[in-house]
Amino acid sequence: MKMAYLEVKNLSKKYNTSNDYVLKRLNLSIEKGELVTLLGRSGCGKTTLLRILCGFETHNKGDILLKDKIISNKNIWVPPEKRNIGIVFQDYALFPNMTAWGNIAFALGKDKDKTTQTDEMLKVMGLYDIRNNYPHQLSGGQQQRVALARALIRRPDVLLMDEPFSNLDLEIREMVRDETLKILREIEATVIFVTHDQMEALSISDKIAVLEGGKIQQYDTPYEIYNRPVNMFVAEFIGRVNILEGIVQDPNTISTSLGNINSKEAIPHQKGTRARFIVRPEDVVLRDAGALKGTIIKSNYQGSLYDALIAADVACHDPLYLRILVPGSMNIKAGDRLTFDISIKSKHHVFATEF
Amino acid sequence: MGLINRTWLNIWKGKPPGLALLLINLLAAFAMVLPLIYVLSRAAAAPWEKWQILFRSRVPILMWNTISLAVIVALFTTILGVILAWLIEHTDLPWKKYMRLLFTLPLVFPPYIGALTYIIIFGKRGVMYSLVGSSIIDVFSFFSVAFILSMFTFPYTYLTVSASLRKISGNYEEAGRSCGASYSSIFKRVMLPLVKPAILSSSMIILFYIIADFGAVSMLRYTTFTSSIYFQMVGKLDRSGASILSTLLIAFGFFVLALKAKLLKNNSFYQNPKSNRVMNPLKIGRFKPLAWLFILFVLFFSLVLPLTTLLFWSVKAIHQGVVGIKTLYYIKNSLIISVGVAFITMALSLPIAYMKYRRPSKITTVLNSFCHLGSIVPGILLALGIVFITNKYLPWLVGSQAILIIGHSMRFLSRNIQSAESSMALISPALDETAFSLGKRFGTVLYKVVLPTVSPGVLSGGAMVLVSSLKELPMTLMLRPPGFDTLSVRLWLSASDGFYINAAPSGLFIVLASIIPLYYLIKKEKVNENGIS
Repeated sequence: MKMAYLEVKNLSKKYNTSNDYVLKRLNLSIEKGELVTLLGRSGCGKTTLLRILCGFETHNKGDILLKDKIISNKNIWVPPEKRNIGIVFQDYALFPNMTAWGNIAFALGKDKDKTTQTDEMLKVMGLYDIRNNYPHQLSGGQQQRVALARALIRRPDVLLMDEPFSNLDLEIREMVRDETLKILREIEATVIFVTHDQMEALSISDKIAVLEGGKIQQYDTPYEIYNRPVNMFVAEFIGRVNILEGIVQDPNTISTSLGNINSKEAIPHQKGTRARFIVRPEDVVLRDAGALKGTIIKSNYQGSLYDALIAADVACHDPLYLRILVPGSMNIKAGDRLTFDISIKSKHHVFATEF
Repeated sequence: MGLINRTWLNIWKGKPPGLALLLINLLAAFAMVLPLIYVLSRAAAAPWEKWQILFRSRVPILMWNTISLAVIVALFTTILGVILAWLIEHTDLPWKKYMRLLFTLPLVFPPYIGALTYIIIFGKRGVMYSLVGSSIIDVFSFFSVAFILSMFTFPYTYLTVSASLRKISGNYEEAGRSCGASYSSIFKRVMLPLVKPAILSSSMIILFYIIADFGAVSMLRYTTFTSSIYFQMVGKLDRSGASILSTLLIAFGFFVLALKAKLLKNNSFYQNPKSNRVMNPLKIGRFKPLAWLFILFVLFFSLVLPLTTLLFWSVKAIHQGVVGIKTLYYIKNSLIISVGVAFITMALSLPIAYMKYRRPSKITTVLNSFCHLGSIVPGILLALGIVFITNKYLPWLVGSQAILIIGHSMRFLSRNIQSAESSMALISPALDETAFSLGKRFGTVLYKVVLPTVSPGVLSGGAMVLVSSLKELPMTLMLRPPGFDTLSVRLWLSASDGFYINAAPSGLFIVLASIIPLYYLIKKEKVNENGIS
């Protein structure tokens, strides 16, 4: 069997101070040149995994292989400085006693053409003019680029980035992110990127690993993750969802408090199964002849569309709240009545509820 | 009016201090400089022949004695303090909590009490002599004196450097590792530069301490400027001779201060306040036995030996009925003074350190150096100036406890400021600027925003001042109200008469009393550090 570029096998990690495992028999394989995002809530173990890959933390069980060589297991432990895995910290960790130039040159050690290489990297990153500034004299975006340059100049086999954009202002965040990605794509870097921002993950990744409870819940392309979540956690965590409950009537129908909802694909659950399913806001279709009615509670106008919350009419129950998208060309306000239809888009959107 | 305003703004580079801040700094600096002006004017008024005679006879040897001792001790304590701080804060040696405490404890021994114990053991007719028939070492030789002084001053370096080491985020080490650098390379190129301000500042503290020390050197019969000045004045009642020697000492002190300012100028860095992850301890493996040997060596000579000696001789003293009810009064008197002093210097150190880093200007530099005068000016000299001024202008203060507190505060203010400043140097101006932008008043910002972040520095400075004041000798001798005996005064009087057995109990009391405030201040500092992180 051919090994992946970076292979994590059955990795388990427990801190001495805790009884629970942070990572539980975790598996992950990454191909060369891929940009993989570790996505999860804070405390899900994603930073721990990153630190283990770097060699800053040891793990209890399992193997880590880079380019078919074991870099860490029960018997072997390659120290961080020998792994050639670069990292960009969330706070950048630029050495305060060195200039931008000094920080980047630090990574080159005693190379002969250190000056040329550093200058070249500064130019590529657009940092040449501020090369003599100290970290506290740099803007957030500049600090981020210095940190990236410092990590990249050694041409690491894998580059790890721990929420590298979270300390940046929103206005420049997207710009810095796009520039960073462009550079990373150009040099075909293999990147593992940690974030808790799912929109960021969806937009930049080749693959996303959704991490929860010390395990990878799903590891797939952004398209698959969004459209074919393997479980309720992933479905709920990625993108906005409406969650509805009901009982499977036949392969194409679930009965709910809103009435019977049709499914476009056959539901792989038996009749009578109690099930939860998701309906994305964009899958709620406004239609004059719609079967369902509701009242707009509030709406957030974004120009091209409204992000709206409606209370759907439910017979002899409290109203059911749904998030929907309304085209920006419509003139709506709170209190307006709407008619709409709901359907289940995919069999991957229905999950049997456990009792 | 416009021109005056513009000039004023230019002086302060557009950031003029508020009236209160300026006044506090002005008053502190003014109070510090007055006694010196007196001493200097006395020296200037002295006849020229007097200068010539002194320069031909005493000055060169005094200069050499003082400088060589101060430099050797500063060097030795820096090596000791940095190695200890590094071993305890950055390696995987166990029992860090206890070691931190243990290596703060030698501070409870004023060098003159330490010297007393060494004389008891290694003196001409000391314990060693009676045990093995030889003193083994000459306790009054240059290197013995340097060793003894180092053993009781290195905690100043250790405390400052370890506080600074603890502030370094673990991310720097890891970032360095991921750049392919080894630990030693990271240590040399990142950590050492980051603790350099702390190292420089603490070695300067030691330098000044040794220059200004009177008790230990005179007890060990080593002649430096201070002891020479003391005997010139008290022994020969030669005020102008003492003033001339003092002037030279002050000039020397200014030179060192200028050097320090120059050294520190290019060495302070803003660390990202967001990154304060604790560093993973370095595994030192086979060097552990060596590290333990080093630690035990220092502990034995700075703590075990002097403490057992004091205990043993105090027990002996109690058996002989030397300790009486009067001792309680000495304790009370000592405490009144030192607690008052610590509060005054802690309160003052904050606005002065703040002014230095946030309102820099030529005026600030001058005022700040004046505030540091206490560390260059030996207590005996400051006391002389204070006595003169109070006698002439404030007679109602003469012989009061207040003047003793004021005098001690002046003497030890510098120590507290230095400590506050090295904390201040690590804090980004953005912090208090943010608070100002939120419309907070200056006092609120200073004590609610700046103080909590620099409090490790202010408190450890306060701890040092409290203990120092308790031990202070020459100034207390000069300024005390008649009959107001403190422990240190009692000890000195007994020891100078050669009654070591009478001196031991007072020494033990000073040592014990120093433990309590030290313990509470260290504890508070810890709580604050944890609170922030």
